[in-house]
Amino acid sequence: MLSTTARRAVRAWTVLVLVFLYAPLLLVVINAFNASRTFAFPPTSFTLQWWVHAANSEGMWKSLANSAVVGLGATTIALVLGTMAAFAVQRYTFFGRNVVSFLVVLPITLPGIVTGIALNATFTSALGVTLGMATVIVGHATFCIVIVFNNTQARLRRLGTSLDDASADLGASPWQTFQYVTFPMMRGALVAGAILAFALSFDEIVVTTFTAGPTVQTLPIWIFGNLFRPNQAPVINVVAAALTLVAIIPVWLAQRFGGDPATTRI
Amino acid sequence: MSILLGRRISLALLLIPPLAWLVVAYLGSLAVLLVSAFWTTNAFTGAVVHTFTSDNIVRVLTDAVFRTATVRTVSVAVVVTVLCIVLAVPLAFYMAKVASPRVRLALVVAVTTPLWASYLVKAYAWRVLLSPEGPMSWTTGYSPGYGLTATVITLTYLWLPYMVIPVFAAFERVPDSLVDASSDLGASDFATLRMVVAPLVFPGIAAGSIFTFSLSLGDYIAVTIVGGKTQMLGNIIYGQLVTANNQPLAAALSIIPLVAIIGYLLAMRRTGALENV
Amino acid sequence: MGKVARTAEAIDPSTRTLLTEVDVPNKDGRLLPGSFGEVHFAVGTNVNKVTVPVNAMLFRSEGPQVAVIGTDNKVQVNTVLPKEGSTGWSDTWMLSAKAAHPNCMYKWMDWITSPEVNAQVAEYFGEAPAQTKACEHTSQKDFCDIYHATDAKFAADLHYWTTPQKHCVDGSGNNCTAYNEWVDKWQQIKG
Repeated sequence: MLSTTARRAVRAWTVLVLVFLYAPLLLVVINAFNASRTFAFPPTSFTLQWWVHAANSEGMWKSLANSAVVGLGATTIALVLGTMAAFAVQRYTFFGRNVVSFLVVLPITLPGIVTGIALNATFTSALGVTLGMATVIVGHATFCIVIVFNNTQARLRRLGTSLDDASADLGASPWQTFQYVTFPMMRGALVAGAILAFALSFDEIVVTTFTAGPTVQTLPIWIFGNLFRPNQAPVINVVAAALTLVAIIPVWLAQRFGGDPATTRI
Repeated sequence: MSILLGRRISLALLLIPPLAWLVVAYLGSLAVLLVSAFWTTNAFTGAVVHTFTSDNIVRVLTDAVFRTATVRTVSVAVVVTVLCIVLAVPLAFYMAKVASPRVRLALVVAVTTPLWASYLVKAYAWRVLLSPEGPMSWTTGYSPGYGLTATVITLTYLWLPYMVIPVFAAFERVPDSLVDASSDLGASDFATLRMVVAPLVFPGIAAGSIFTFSLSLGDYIAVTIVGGKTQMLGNIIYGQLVTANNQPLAAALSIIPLVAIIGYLLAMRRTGALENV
Repeated sequence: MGKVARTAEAIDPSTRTLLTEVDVPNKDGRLLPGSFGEVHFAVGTNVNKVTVPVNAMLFRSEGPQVAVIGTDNKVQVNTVLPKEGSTGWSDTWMLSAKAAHPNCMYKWMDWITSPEVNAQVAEYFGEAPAQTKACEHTSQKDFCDIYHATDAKFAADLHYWTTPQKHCVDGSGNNCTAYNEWVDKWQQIKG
């Protein structure tokens, strides 16, 4: 299809970009073992002591648990609402369909600081609600809906309605069609959307800072608080290195069960 | 008739919960934000005082520092977007059209995994990389130091996966047969890319650009970590909100990125980007 | 036995010498004009003021600091005070007048300001402990000396932070610069 030179050029470019993508991550992994507290380069000696510190860090485990809870909560809400919205937009024609699509996409396209300040102003000034886990979950769910919506909508568009119609023609009720025909085909998109939504919620810091208040610490907030403390900075690298390595599992899972990579959406 | 009514009811049931959430939680809070831009604060306590004033809006439109920061931020966002496009498009093309299926899966995993590494740690890794005693100056003897260049590099790095994924999806959707047909009809590689592939892929690129543009427009954390004294719109907003306790002015300043993004989204809608997001 | 009358108060950069005038009793006339001699200065042994060039100093959030070699031959970072003095702050705990559980707060305040705990907090942050009895509990024995925790004269040269308001703190009027204006100015300076 393409000439050999073009192929070679594109392959070389791919390698370059991959090096660019992974060089900083490699540095993080190196510094997780670097005995120097100030990340002297090249490292003079290696140590596992930061890994021990990290394992013993109560603050880290607590914030990790909080992040997991927030992620699960936000993803669940997003799965329900996002799928409903995707179905409504894909399977029905109605006035204002484009407006709904636009509205759903808006939370993830507006800068986090705008969303964060807006939610903060609403929670504290307008509603008088104390900031806590619930407010964080509300904030996260709002931009997670988009991700599930996008993935589900893309898959539904690719599937088309012919199979659903065939099922109805053969006598199945709408619920049966959903249960036996649509849902199994859509499952992969839901898995991919859920995993990506969880990832975004897990790493989110801006909206979280404005909706968490002083009592809730998610992992990114904990990391940010310790990033510039000389005693704690090496532990941060350990946490990041561990997370990146562990993350390969859900990413691979998302690709394996998400089905066609072409329908993966942010 | 009852079927139509049944369909309408099921549409309403499907649409109302998500719409209610988005309108109330999201649009509602944006409305509160816009209203609060017209309030003011008690100078000593920083508490918001609900008296109407247009001072904040006037300041946002007239103060030179806000104008400078806006120009700088928009420029950075545009440069970062262009760099991401340049890096992502050949990569996505390789992944979609040249790589074997197994390599393709590995590459998709490889490109998506960095999204799981903490944004803060990645920015901090660049801080270490670009420091005067860091790896970059150790290997090449030169480092741009902390400033605007470092900010652009870091932001490009952070948002690159967000550009690769939609562009890759767009390339995948271009049927091989079209490309083959084009070369059968005598077009060179370059002509095929320009006249057949590019128009089909453009919505994907536009979709990716929405992310890179908006993420760069509002960023203040990566700028603080690698930007030295560089001040972008996000830093100014953050400073007014958290340091100066001036929430109404911060809300007024937030209108700038809000208007910019909505304008960008409306422009991109015509390119079909929103279906590819 | 003479006395230093005055000096040039500045070092000549080319000769790296300090021009000094010494008043010496010359009743017997043994010192003749134009003659040369050797002069020995009795310099105080407990002079603990060292002048360092400004590019040897570290300016950090903890204040101006300088690295010295400690008694164990390891590099140590010490706090220095410019002759103009310095600004400073002290972390405090406040109890809300409307607190639902004031006794809990009192217990917390007792605990966090106790010598052992204050020592740990001070060492973690790298700042002087507010509780002087904490000095006996720090794991690094000369911690309090490095941070001048018990040095009253050092503390007297610190100008403690206070919220700037339009109403001037020294009572000179109502046209002082309020806090949010300082933030505006800083943002304008950074540009």
